[in-house]
Amino acid sequence: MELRKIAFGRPVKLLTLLLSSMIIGTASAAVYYTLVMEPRVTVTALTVKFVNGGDTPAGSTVNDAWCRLLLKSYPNATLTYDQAVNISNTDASNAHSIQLRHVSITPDGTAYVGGNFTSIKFYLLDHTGTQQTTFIYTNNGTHWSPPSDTGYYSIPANKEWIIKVETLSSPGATVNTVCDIEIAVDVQE
Amino acid sequence: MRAEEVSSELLPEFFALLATNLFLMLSLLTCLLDDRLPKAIPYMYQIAALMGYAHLLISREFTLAFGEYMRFWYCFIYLLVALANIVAVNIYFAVVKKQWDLAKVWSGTVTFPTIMVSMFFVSNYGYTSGAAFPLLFLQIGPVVSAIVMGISIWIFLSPDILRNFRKEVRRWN
Repeated sequence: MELRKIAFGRPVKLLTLLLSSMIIGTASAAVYYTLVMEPRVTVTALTVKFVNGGDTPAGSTVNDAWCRLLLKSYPNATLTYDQAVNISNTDASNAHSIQLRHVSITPDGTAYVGGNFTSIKFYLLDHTGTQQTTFIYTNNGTHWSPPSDTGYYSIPANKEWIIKVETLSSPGATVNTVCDIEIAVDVQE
Repeated sequence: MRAEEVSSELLPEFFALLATNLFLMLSLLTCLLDDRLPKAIPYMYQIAALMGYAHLLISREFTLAFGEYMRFWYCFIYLLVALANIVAVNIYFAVVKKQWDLAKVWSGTVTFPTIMVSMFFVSNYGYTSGAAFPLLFLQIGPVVSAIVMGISIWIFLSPDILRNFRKEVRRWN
């Protein structure tokens, strides 16, 4: 009789329910945690993207996520593309930050190419035309000096910024000499 | 172009988790008050909480099949059931058992805080997810709860007001 009283008494009942509650609560939280940590990838349209500028050279390809510009360089004369390509923040409510980052420049280390180019300068201008930063490649006759990352600049919502390019070759540059530059635009969302 | 993004959002299953915990809390509280309630009630709430766990498991397996809108509604309805049970216990104490003091304590310490917390999370979810459900109703909920809590605190701090009010009611009758 006493044993029965203890077995069905309130403290034992409460302890049983407490243990059961802890197990259910912990298991439920664990399931929710796995749901939160489950990665899901959804394809969405780019909010910051490349768009054609007023001076995008003919034959260039400008896609949302990448662009390939076919630029020219004149011997002993600076050629300026005022709007080589634009970067548009299509987000109507949020600003997004971007930076220019050097990836590669080829060929490098050959006097033939190096002697033909003096500098290739990229300027990042905001929507009012004010210069925000520069990104300049210079050549010492043999090697290119690639620029360091520009750091992040914030494009306001619904605004379009400009990338201006200036090219310059040495006075005795050989016609049809080519160099390829790959630049990344990092976007913080 | 490389994009970097860090974001965190409340999932609809959060409401199922919240409701599960509310059922567990109900189970323990009704166990403490078992001399005033039917003996089976705490166990029934344990089973209800266990159903919430099963609910979460099923939701995890069919996340993609159900879609966010449907997931929100079935989790929200489960939360409403949990809240309805809290209110039902409150009404049971007040109407069936005529234990006004216990009913008042229950409403002040369990019913309104849980309703307020639930409304807060639901309105927060609605704001961040842009969910299509009556937001006005959800915003009114916390306001009403806050007003009732405010009045309750006022009465608690000055009990004479309630006594005078009762006298007035008796005089009218």
